[in-house]
Amino acid sequence: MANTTPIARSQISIVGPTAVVDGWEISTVTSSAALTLRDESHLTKVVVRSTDGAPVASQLPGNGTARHVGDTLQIGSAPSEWYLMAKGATTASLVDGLDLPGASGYAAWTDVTHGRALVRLTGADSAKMLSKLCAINLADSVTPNGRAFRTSIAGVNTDIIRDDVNTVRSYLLHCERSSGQYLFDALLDAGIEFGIEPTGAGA
Amino acid sequence: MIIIDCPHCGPRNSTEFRHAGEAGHKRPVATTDPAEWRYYLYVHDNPMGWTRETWFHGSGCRKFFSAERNTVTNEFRWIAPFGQGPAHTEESGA
Amino acid sequence: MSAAGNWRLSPQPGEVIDRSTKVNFTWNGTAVSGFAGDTIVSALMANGEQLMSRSFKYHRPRGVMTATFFDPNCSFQVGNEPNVRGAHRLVKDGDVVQAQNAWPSLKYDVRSANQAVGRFLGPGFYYKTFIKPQPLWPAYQKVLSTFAPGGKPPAIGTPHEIFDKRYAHPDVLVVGAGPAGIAAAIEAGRAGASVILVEEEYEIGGHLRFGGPAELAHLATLRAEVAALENVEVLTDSVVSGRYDDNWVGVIQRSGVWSKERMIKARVGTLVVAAGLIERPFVFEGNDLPGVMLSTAALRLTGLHAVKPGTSAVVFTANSTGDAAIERLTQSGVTIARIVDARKGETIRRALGRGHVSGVELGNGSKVQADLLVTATGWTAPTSLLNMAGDRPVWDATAARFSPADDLPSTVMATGGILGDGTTEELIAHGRAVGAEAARRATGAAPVEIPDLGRDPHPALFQSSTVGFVDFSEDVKNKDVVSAAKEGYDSSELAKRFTTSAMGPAQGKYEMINTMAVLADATNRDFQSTGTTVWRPPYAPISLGALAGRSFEPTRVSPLQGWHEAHGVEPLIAGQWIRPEHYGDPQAEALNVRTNVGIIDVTPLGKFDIQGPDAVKLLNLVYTNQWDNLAIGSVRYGVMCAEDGVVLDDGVTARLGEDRYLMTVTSSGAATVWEWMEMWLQTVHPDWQVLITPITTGMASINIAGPNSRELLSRITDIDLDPQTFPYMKVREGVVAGVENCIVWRIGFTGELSYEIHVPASYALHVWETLIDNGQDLGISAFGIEAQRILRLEKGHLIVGQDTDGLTQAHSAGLGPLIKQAKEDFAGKQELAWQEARDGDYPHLVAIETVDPALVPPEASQIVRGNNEIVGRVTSSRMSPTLRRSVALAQVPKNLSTPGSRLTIVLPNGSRAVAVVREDLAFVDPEGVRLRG
Repeated sequence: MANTTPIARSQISIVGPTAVVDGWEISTVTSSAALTLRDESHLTKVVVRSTDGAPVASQLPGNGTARHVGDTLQIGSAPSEWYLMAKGATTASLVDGLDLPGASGYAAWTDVTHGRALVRLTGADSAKMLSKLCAINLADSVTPNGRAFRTSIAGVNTDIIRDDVNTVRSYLLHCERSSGQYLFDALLDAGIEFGIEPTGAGA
Repeated sequence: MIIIDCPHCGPRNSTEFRHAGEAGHKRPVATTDPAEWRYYLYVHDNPMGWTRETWFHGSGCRKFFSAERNTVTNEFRWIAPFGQGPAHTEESGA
Repeated sequence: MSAAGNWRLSPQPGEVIDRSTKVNFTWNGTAVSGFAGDTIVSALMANGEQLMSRSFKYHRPRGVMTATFFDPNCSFQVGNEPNVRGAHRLVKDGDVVQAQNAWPSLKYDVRSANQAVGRFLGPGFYYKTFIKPQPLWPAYQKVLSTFAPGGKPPAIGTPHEIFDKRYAHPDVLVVGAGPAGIAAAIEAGRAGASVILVEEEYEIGGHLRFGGPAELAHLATLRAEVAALENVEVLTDSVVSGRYDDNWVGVIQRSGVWSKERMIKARVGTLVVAAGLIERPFVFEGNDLPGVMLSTAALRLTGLHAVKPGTSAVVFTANSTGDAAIERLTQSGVTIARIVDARKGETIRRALGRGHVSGVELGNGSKVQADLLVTATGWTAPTSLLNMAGDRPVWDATAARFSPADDLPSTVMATGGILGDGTTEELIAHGRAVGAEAARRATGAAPVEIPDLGRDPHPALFQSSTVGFVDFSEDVKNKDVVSAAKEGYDSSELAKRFTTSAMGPAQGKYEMINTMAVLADATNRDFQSTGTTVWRPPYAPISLGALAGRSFEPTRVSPLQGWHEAHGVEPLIAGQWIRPEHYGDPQAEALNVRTNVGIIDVTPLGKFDIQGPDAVKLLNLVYTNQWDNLAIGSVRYGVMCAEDGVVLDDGVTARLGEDRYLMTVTSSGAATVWEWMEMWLQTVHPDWQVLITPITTGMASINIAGPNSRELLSRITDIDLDPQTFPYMKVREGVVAGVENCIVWRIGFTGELSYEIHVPASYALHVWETLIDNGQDLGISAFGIEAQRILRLEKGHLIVGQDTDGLTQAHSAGLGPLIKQAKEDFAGKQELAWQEARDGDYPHLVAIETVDPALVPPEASQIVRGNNEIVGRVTSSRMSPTLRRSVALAQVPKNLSTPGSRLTIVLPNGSRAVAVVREDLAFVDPEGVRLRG
């Protein structure tokens, strides 16, 4: 039998000091730059899907919107498809109380904690920077705080959630895990112009 | 690049979509006639003007949806979730 | 003329140079200086240099004509950058500027002898002369290229500069920042629209910048107004390259950005075209001599750069701009030797002089001495963007220019000179109204009334009675257009291509109207029926770097990529995936799997979590075989076909629970299969309760293969591996190396006893390293894709896309036993039934052995019959480390598919090899003892 405790690692490589939090190796680098990029892949993530009209739909946000319920971010990422995310949670707690069997229609969930790379881009220039990689109109009138959408970022299919932090403009971006490092690097490269710096989630 | 107004995601660049073929061709699942099957597989109307089609939003919601488009002007007369477009119209020819 | 000395004027009210900052550069090796804000050309002219280049075909001396970006003969080599537009590019300290198209030097150009043979270089000369014989084309190309214009491209190895890209979504985008354009941007901004104002030059203002005190006062007001609006983004030194469907507009931002150039892809609500007017040259003998320039060029040089363009001028004027040039030249100390007023019927016949203007012969035959000839003979409306929006401009004979035809889509509007004439106040008022209306159309406010902007009458002036140039970049003369018409090239599109007029770097901006006018004269037609060619994108040349922009080439890697790299992996690029090809010796890696145990990272294997009471219906539909009876805890191999019966993908699927399956597909087929299954569910069976979630890299996949694999795995898992309870083609869930939620199944792609572990990806490295640590005494080594290919070929397992192709129906791949026609429906059912009915008359996949065991026929080698009739091909081939002989699969016709058939294979060197068809596809362990062990 194995004699070491497994440690979970993000797809995005860490430069600088690290710590193990909730079983995950995370960066403790801190940056005070006006524009920062932070790997948050260690959040517990679940995707819920349902057939059209399943009752679970009434318990979760509508397509294209996101909301915070307690510590959980609920995202309506497509019709009858939701992502639920929280830090340090169990997958069971994320779907607790959802009407998954459903009297009409069908719903099911899948743990995608390890299948999605998740990063947070924060700063006043974040929209300006993202517009170098993303063809969606990021103006407040079109994609205000709380909007969720999926499109191509630097050629990678990516889910984007406008999720401001203390009134500072912020975007959560998540993509298929294997492209996580590429997306992270593409974002950092596009952000050079704005003085972007990576920052650690364990700061 | 034209804009396609996805019924689920709103207006997006056409590069996010894949044209998934003409609509309204029923799959002759029980046929025993190779000619009939191959007509279904390979022969399309490809009209000049209005046509009903299916699109797939691969970079967005990943939903197939229905639309009626003018092949000359690229104008969309309507776009709707799959199978929910208006009933057959005279001009649509489909 | 190259008179040394100071041609700089005293400070001018609208000048853009900074006299406190000197700029030093070299011109053809000689040190020269100018001021910050000087273009290369204005700095040269301030130093008395007027000879800028030699012309394309005849190598005639050329100077400044328009003093704008498109000045036809002012392209330079600057450092390692060729074709720099010298009348636009600001000169920088340390620039090394050289004339192009001059050899051995600008002043003594050997090739100007072409002038003497000019009569042989008529229109179509190249087409007619260098056609035959075809074998000489490379030689012709060498000769011609030494005469072709253009500078030297940067040498290979020159560091890349950064070219950038961004997207924008302005409600209103205004093209051109003259008075009307600025006013439109201001008013659209005031209406609350988000606005981008694009100006080709370095500052906004258009012709107001080189106007008189009244124009400069207007400009100051407009500048202050636009600067006060935060929602108006002003892009200078930027050009709109094209307008496409649904107002998709390309903007090239040349400077003022973090990168060298930036392409902006803008989706625009309302596009306002305020591109102004381009002054048109006049066709007469000597019209290309240095010292002949347009009135706007004289105004720019004097007003913006404080450069005196000559000492004694003849001004041929037909409009107020020409009159303004007279006034400005007088103020600048230039003697006005003669005013020739076209409005009084006066004209000029030819410019006199060799190498530079020395005088002018007037229409009445009299001659006037002068070193400067300024012409103001009319305007060309740059209707490119309107053309691209579908407009077909009409000829206004009274104003002698094209005007918009009023058939623009509602998302495109025009204002300013491109539309009509007026006082500065009228132009601004029109721009304001159009801007407000543009904002309304984009944002939905109340309609705005737009005043009329009529066009002033203007004499129709195109050419004199003499022979002169219509195209200064391509060296095309009016007589060339006439002879083209005589040869039958009398349509505008044909004449243009035959003469190459308007096909040079200025792309017709100065040449098109005169070419058409000459053609109209030559064919006795009016202008409208002669027509003009349609302007297509790009409006201005775009550097390849800007087009390439920020390149997006996503890559995908497994969580084990770092380990692979640290262990000497040879990477395999497979689509977006970067995978381990091998770690040094694939033959040894393969042999180690047969003798000990190996592990391979197969994370890219496509994986889908399929849930729902109707999941089995989906499996039965997309796979050709039967899925009703798959027990929980079991794994089954399946093949998918398209509706034409052609093999689409294959893989194994496990039943993990009552309504839950884990499907694996090939890594290259994962995206296709996902969309394929969604297509069936969404469009054919929307009532089925099945949900598909891709988990390809949520689970890292590690295959353990070899006789020692059970012993290895048993050391790190609690899962019962007893072959009685966990036999071949079964699946178990459990803890591996301390990691929960792992899925382990027994399959045998390599032909060995093997376990495939699917691990939550964040723990993949932990599990992999634990396997390596625990396998040392068992002879463990990692193996790559190449070893896996060898192993599966020894076992005779096919790879979809390698041993099958776009025409291979399932029976051809030997998959008949997996096709269950008894099922009610499945993709490909009909075609496969008809294939089966052909009684074997189709290609067959067979294993073959070369008679010479050391010979490995390359993949794709053809198999021939009789007199070179191609009947098949080798699909896979390798040297087998296990059997120490070559092993191969091939597609062959029915009559060559029976065991013992002898095949003739054509090798790349043309020689033939003989191979024999085997009984079984598997070379190693055909009975499957090893993998079932």
